[in-house]
Amino acid sequence: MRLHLDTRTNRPGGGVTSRSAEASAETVRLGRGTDNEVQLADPRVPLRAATIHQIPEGIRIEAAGSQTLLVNGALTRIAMLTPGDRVDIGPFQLGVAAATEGFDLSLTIERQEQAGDAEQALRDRSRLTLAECLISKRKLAWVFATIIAVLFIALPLSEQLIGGSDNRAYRKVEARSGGQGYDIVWRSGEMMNEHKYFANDCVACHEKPFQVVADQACTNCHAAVTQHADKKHFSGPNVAGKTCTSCHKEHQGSAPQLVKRQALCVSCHADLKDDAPSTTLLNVSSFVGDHPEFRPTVSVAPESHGWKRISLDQTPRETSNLKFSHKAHADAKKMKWPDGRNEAVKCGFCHQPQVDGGRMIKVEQESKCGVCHRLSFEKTDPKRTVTHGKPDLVARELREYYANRALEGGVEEEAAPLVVRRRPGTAINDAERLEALGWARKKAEDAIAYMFSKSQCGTCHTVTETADGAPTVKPVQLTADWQPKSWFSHRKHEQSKCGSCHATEASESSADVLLPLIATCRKCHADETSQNKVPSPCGSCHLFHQPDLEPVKATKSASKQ
Amino acid sequence: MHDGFLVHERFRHLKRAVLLSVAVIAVYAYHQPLDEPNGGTWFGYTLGGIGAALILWLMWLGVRKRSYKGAFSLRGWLSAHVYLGLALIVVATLHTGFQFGWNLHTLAYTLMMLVITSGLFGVYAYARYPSLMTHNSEGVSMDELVTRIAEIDRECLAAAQPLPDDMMRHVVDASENCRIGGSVRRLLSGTDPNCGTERAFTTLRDAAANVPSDLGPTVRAVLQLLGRKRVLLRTARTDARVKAMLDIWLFFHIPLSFALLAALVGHVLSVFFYW
Repeated sequence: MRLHLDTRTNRPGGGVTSRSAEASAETVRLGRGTDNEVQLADPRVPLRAATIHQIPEGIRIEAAGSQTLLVNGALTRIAMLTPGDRVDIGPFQLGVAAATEGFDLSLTIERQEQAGDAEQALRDRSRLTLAECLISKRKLAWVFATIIAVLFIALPLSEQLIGGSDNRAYRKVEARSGGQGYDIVWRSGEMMNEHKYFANDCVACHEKPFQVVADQACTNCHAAVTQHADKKHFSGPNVAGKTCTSCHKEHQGSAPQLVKRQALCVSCHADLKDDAPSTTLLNVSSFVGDHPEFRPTVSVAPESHGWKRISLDQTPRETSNLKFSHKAHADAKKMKWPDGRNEAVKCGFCHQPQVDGGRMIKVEQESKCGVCHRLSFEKTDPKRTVTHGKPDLVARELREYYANRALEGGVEEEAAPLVVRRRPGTAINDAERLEALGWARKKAEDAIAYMFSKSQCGTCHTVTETADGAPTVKPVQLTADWQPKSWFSHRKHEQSKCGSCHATEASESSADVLLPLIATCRKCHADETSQNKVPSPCGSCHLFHQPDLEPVKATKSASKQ
Repeated sequence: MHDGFLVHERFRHLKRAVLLSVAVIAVYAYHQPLDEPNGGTWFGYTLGGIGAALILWLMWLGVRKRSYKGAFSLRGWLSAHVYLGLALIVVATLHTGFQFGWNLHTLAYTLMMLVITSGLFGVYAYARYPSLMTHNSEGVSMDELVTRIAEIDRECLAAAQPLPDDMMRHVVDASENCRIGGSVRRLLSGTDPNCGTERAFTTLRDAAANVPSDLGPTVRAVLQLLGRKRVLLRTARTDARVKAMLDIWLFFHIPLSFALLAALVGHVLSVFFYW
């Protein structure tokens, strides 16, 4: 078989070059190998791709081995070739041309792709930088920024600004309808427990955007809370400049955050003339430093309800119009109880702290003093006493008592007239009645004199006369609260002995003010930063400004006896 | 004498950053607000202002680095960026007063810390990798490497013409399935588990004992070429890897810093909206 080959190559600049070759062979073999009549030099072509035979019927092409051929676009193993047919082997396109003179088969060979684009193919396959493999940094940045801006700025803001007047208007602490809004992401900290029921309604306190929480937001609910210090009197910056939020902080956790630090008090009290030029209070900046000696409120004029603050420095004397010697009552030998034993009166017998553990309960004559100091007046009726505390009633009670005894009869006194000693139930006539009354009157006068003598009322009281000449006692004014504007817990100090603060052992007079000096307190207490004593900021003893404000732990303020 | 960005001007910016940090810590320790330390005390506002200004200035590096003119060198800018960025940790953390919660404010702080952490990797990368790169490529550019690899490819295919089809398939595979990089994992690991060249090399090496003797020289020639190609590929892949490592952290650093910017705007806005 004679074969004519026409190899066409596309020139880079355009155009086609042609190269002709001839071959003569029994069978025409096509493939990569050099032994083929038609060498198709490309790695993708098998060593032997196909063979072409000339058979009586014509030219036949047959694929080698178990391969298939692409003849005119169809996969086949055997095909008859006629001019115009096309066979694709690898990148080569073989065209069957019209048979030329002297040849049995004329083939054109064209290569589909340039041989030289291996490098470009490698570059195309490769991705040498991350930018080619990943979403761009810029796009990512936009995505992130947009997500955050929408979720955390746009949504909460639009809810507040577009939500309508319902959202912006103040509502007196009702939960916002619809529950929590998008502005939950703006909440900077936990709300205190007592405020949690409107925690989803930021506008309840933050009434106007870009404005600090105003006092009005607080007083809308806390209407009864008055100004802690009167701004008219305290016009300095430390008071007038303060708002609720200066000291009361929110979003600081579940417990109410109240500024209790010493520095708050000291900011004003270190130099009071700035804020309260006419005050009589002394300046203080620290407990261990310059806190002045205690100035208790001492009774000085019981008749006119006169009190005075006197520093313990000056050894104040109290005028109470009551006589009492602690020393005597602590002397076991002197004390004789009703049951006969000799035992000193213990502090705790008379003095008990109130229910809240703070100040002491007022000493009651009837239950305390009266255990030994009975206001009895009649030997034959020892259990009968007069009412304590009402000297103007004493005379009447006594007269009524004896009149009653006289009327009833049965008096057992030997010296008494018969009429009063008669058997109870016996009738008496007018003259006898007058006699009985006369006895009663005399007895009453004796008893009155006895009561108001040194043996009875006079033991503790100063006996005097009313304008009408009737016996009475001077009014007594005792202190319930030496320091009414501060607070003290006896219960918290119950581990200490009473005598470690109150010098009762040597006190023979009720004029003694038996309060401890500040030096005694300083043995255990120091300022709030102390690590080796009990840290005690101002608020641990002092009430804060408002007279009607319940102090942190204690009872109401002073009640005078 | 080359001065790196860390050493720039005798650590001028490190000194400034340390000074700022120490000053801030000192004031924080001394200042005792009446309530708890938090972003809303006067010192909290001060730190917040400093922190916000720092963040904006730090992000300005992105603008400065694209400009050809400027009073200060880009290396100086970078040095200041790194050290003041680290000082920001101190400023911002003290600004929080150590109060954290599930809210936008802590989100901004978290984003900031993520940005700084990714930046720390950047510092490490920029300090270490450039010399690795030089050591690896020894002055040969990636472009050059690709060209050389493609050339060997061509030689290989030509040399392998006489090989039997099954072997030829491997050589073709080595050519057609060879790529540098291609995916994030391949770039960052510097290896390609699916590399045609590796497969071809191993297979041909193992099969070399069993070829007929007349093909021996051909196989040896092909193996030699494949071997050279492997070396070049390794160099190219290491080069691509180092460049990728120098770049990967920026995919965190920059998008997160814009997220931070958005969060910062939200933080400042919300804090004064609900003052």
